[in-house]
Amino acid sequence: MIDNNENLLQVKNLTVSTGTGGRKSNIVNNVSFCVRRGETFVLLGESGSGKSITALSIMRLLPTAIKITAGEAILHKSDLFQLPENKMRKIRGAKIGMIFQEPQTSLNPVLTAGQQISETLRQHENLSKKRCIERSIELLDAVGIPESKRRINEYPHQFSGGMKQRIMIAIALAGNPDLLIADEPTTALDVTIQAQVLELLKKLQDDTGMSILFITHDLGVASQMADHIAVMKNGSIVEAKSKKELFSNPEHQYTLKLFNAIPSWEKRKKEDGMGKIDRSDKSNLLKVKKLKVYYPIKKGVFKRTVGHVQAVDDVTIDLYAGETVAIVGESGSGKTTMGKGILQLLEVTSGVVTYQQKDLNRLDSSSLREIRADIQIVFQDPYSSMNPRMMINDIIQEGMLAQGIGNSEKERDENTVELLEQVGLLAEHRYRYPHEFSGGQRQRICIARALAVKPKLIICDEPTSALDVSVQSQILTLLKKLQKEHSLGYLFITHNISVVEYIAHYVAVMYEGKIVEQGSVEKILKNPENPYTKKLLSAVPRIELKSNLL
Amino acid sequence: MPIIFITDFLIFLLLFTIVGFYLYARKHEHLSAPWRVVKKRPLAMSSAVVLFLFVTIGLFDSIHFHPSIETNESNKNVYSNEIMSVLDIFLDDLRTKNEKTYSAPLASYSFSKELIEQDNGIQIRDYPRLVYGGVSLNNPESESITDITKRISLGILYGLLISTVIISLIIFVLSKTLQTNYRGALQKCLENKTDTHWYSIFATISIISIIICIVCNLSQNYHVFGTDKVGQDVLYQALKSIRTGLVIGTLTTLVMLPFAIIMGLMAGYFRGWVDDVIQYLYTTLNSIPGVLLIAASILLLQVYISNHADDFNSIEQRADLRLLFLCIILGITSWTGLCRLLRAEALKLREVDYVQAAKAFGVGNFEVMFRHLLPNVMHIVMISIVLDFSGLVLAEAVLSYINIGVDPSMYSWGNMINSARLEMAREPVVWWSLAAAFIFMFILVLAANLFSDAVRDAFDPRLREF
Repeated sequence: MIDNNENLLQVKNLTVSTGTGGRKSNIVNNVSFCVRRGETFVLLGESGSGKSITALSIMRLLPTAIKITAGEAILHKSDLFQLPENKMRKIRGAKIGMIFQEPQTSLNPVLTAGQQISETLRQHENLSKKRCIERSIELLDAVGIPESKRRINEYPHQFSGGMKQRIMIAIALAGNPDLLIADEPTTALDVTIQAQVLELLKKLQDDTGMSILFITHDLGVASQMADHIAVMKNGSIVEAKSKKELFSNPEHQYTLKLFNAIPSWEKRKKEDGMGKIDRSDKSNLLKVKKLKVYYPIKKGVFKRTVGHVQAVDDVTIDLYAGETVAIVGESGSGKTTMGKGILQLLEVTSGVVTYQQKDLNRLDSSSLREIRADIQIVFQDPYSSMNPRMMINDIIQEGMLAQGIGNSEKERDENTVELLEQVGLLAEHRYRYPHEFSGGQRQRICIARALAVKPKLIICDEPTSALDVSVQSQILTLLKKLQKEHSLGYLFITHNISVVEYIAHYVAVMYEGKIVEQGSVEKILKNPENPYTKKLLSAVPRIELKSNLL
Repeated sequence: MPIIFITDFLIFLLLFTIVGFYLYARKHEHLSAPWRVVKKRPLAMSSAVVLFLFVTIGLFDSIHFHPSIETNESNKNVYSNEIMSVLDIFLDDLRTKNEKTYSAPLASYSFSKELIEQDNGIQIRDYPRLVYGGVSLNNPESESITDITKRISLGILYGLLISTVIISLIIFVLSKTLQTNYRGALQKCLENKTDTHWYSIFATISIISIIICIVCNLSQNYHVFGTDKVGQDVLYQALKSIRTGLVIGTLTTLVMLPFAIIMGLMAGYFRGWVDDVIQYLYTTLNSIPGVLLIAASILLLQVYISNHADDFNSIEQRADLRLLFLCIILGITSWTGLCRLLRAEALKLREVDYVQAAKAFGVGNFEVMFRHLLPNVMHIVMISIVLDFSGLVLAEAVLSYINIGVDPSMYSWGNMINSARLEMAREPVVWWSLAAAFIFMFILVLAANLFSDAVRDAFDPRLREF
């Protein structure tokens, strides 16, 4: 092992700006830190805090509109910012490797895994063709891809998301870098895959002694990976400490705010006690019985159906007024399809969806249209869930007009103002367009839009997944408040276990289209019986916080 | 006595639509923001000035009337059968100064030799003097060069003078809207601190007014682009052809737009059998050679016109109907491209969350299509309108060249090229008809293309800021 105290990379007073003259603004402001040999340094921050830009400026891969205006980054006694481009190219890949957030788009779809690994090898290692292939296979073995000899000739689409990220790591490792920059490497992956990738990174670090500059927004991941953590906000580092110190003694206001924003059991207990599930006095809202959504797989000239993709398979679930049923599962488990199936937004293969004694699958279109006022949906991505060409006023009133709520324009306008105030926005926001709002504000508008038709049940399809932790906690609080006021039922689709801890009364775990286990939130999270549920829960990165912080 | 052709009516309808759209867009941020980007592009603004000039000429040429010849005793006007446009009044000189036959640009002598009777009664075969070209010169061989240089330099002078007046007027108006004094507005324009790239506009206005003044000055004594076989001024023909080109370029798009938008959105939104039918329709239409379809339809129309000769009062009316028909046929054969693009976009948009949300509210299908899909594909429509324009202007030239375009009696660049084709083999070659058509078409199409480039960039969602 190399001496642990030696600095590998030293970033001093880094300032990155965009624009010129009067419009100049700093994206990264006077940031200094150092990464020691063999250690993992975590840059933690919410979106827009400048953590990715910091990483990209170390690689000198910034977009043309953004420029490094001050500072130095010293690696092996030379300042990376002063090097000419041809020398910098020898550093990228050989001295510093990088992996990105989205493995789906980081790999070239028309080259095989082997070709993409050898590309880096040829660039930096000067190996023979045969040796190149051998080394590629070794690398694939090292990142834990089974049957590496065969899979080296496969194309990216033949690998799963986690496998693709492993290949990306293999490419980054091909030049034996001293420093690996990992820019949110597990954000696009499911928790179980995330756990595997994080473990792999740790193992590789032990084997090779490289340093890792790890960028993340997830406190759990940070606590699992880090030796040192720097918390970034608006382009500056507000607090930098060793992991132990940061988690036991966070000082800066912002760090405390981040910790407090994490939804958890403890937070829920503190706020309103454990929501014991008691269904005796509540009315049943929704009964889903043996719901199936199959997609036919068609092949050949005559489009013969050769099989089915069982997106949702035999799902049975009950929902009562005023309670939150969480559907938990990884991507591709059929959660969203189920939500849309219940809403009749896509064709259901078989099964019964009963809403207040009415079978939604059998209703004619006009009665279904009436019932649509009662069941609403809030989507995951607040950027695509509003028409960018409509004003907020029109967006919120669309449902009222379609459902004939409000007799006059004046009444509808009054309603709109009231709704905006309910979700914590101002009346004057009515005459703006969606692009003028932040992600969290947009999600509030989406909730207001759903509330406009006075629904009894809202299907929340990952409503907080695209949001930062602090905004997420605001939205969750809002949802809870609205539930109390209107006795709303939520069907809450999510992959985030801590959100479930905070908001759900009842949990159903979905895996490959089936519900593998369901029950009250306490039972499922504390005493899971199904092996998949156990695996899922154990994969969630946990933070050990002193309880006095909460 | 005014007379309104069908295409005149449609042109002014289009003009009002554009003005209406402008007023509508001013109130809608997402529509006016891309145009503000266009206004900042220097090349786009230069092209806009050129296009504006062409459109103005085309509009003046679209107001037709029967001129009055005399006033009789009872104070009633007697109208001639001839149909003229407002443009013809401005170009009266060019229209009436006809020679006998071909003459080269700026020539004082005819292009072909004739028998000339001299004062002493002896007939010789030589190039005769032109009736109007170089008429003020006594001895063209020696004087023409000095006369032409004099006229050009005078033209430049007038041009500079006129452009200064126009630019000062614009700056004066600007200073009112910017609420500064005259000097402040001028300074802002020169330093490019205004919303619009006025600098390039002023430069283009200067160049254009200089060219116009030179041409005006020269054509008082010469035929700037020569004359054609029957001695008509080629410059006049080229100017009259502007309207034809503009009509083909704009009305065709207008004809095809409803088809393309409605069919494309329906195919993408409903999918299933609607999609199948529409796709079948446009793949079938696409696989018929366009020229064949156009030739057949024009032939059909000609037969109809000759069978119903009584319904048409004049040659002009007949030619106008043929022009309209050509627009319709071109529109029918060209909507498939845009339709396909819109179908693909609608396929993508129908799965977007806000469309799903609207469906969850129980909003009707056609409402979803027109409230959510249409505004979000408008940038594609806009881009394809401006890009198609230049293609259609060129298509007219090709079609007229093979005699299935506009009526031979109508002025059009295609017809000019077609008639010049027969003289290409002559020695010395008669090149000016071809050159004039080429220059006018080139300027219009180049300006349209540069402008549409800027429009495309501004409307492209990938390059946009929100």
